[in-house]
Amino acid sequence: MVRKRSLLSKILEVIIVLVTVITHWIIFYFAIITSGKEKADAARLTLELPEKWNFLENYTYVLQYQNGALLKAFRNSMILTVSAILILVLAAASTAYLLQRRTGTIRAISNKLILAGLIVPAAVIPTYWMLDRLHIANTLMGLIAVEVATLFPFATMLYKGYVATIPVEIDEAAIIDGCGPFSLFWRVIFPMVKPITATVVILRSIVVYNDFQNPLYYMSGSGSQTVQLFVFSLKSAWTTDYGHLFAAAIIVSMPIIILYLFLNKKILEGMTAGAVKG
Amino acid sequence: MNRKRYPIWLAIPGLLIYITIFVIPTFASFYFSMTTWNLKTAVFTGTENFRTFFTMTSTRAALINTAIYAVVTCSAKVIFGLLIARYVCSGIRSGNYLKIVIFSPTLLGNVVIGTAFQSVLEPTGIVNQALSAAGISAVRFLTDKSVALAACCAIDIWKGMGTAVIIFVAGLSAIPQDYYEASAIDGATDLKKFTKITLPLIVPTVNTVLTLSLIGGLRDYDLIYTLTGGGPGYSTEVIGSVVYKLFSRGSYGLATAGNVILFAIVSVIVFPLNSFVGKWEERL
Repeated sequence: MVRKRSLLSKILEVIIVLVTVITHWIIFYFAIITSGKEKADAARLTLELPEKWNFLENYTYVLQYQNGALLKAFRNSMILTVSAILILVLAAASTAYLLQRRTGTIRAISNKLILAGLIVPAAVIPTYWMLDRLHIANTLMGLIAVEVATLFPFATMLYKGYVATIPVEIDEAAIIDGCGPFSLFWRVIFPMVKPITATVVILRSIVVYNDFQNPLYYMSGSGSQTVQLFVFSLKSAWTTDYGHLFAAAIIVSMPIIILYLFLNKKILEGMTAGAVKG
Repeated sequence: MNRKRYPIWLAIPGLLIYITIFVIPTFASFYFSMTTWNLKTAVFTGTENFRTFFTMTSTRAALINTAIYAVVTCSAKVIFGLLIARYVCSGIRSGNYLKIVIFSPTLLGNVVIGTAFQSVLEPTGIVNQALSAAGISAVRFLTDKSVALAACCAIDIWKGMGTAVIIFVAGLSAIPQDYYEASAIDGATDLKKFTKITLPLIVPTVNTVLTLSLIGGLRDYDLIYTLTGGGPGYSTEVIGSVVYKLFSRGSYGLATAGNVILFAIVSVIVFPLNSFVGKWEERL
């Protein structure tokens, strides 16, 4: 449906695009130029270009700070994100497939529990208590388990909706061909739910990487940190040292920004998975 | 046949993690919320924690602030999200650009957003520099009791708007174009098309955005925590931040009571809301 657009609506469009410069671009621009300023210059908090271009010095300082603590935090965040997403995908896909195909009481109860998990807030301190009893409180492993459990309900619902569109005849054919229950899932069903796997991997990686609430509870007591915890600790250590602080914030956000530059279409599509019927 | 082909053990790994780390702690929280507790031993104290929670100044402020924060951010995301999405879908050339830009803050960590806005909103920061250029005296956005909560709401709306817009765009694109064409033949105005076609058909999507942002508004506290730490005074304290503070000073029983209250609030609001909006949807 192509409509002839009036001059007025074209002007309005230009104005709206210019508004995004104020609401979004200025803040990004401010963060970038501040990350390249010397301390006194950065403390003036202006939009002017740096008096002295200090990008290299600031970024090297941040990377070397406390013997490369940022890189260690980055390694932790990577281990956290990759393991949590890997476990999440396998756990949610297999559970969703089983719950979609089976009938009976276990299925009914599990469905209710998973639906409720979409809505209710996690009981944080009893979770800490549980991790403590399992001897994984304040460890990366404990945090991975929490991230998987937190994201499990939504991922399972997504997979279930998709598995429902795969005809049972496919299962039957595979069984006649000699597939056991495990290879039926692993070699037939799992490859077919790839679109959901892609969505879960891309979007939930961002969520886990950016998560601050869970690491705050379940990792603060340990010696190691995630990148978000690290930036948070820098925020109080470098209260007026904006140059270094913004350099750290930008380094930490870089992986996601790069991901968004290449995959923005996929990310925006993935956002709506499960959100809109039809 | 069904059982043999789909043995339950395939679902066990997922369910085991979920039940151990999420379900059991949730049920355990009802008990622990009625105890004085140090993670090792718990002494049953009945409803005392709940009474304390409703009488302490910080926690009472948190209950009110949570309600304001959730309602304001949620309604803004639904209303402006729908309006922006409609504009984005109206066949303008910059539609894709607007989607990508408006969504971009969603990808940043709350700590990063908190850090950036703290400096942007400083009394000498760029927002106040602009205000003073316009002859308006400086506003202490995050350290003035009367505006801090509003500033936190605005930043959360800025961050969460992208998600709302993207979901609404998908909802709007799912409405068949024929309806609009048919109504155009019948001579419907743009306003009529919006109220008679778009609004009724977008109800399920409104339901989704409303529920998602309401849940988020009620239970998320990390953006506020990085922006103000709950201050000044208790002016931006929310239930989530109070629970965290009680946890860090070792009041585990009381903190868990706060958690249970949040659980009750979310359940009482969100479950009926879902069925209410669901019925509204059926009637139309």
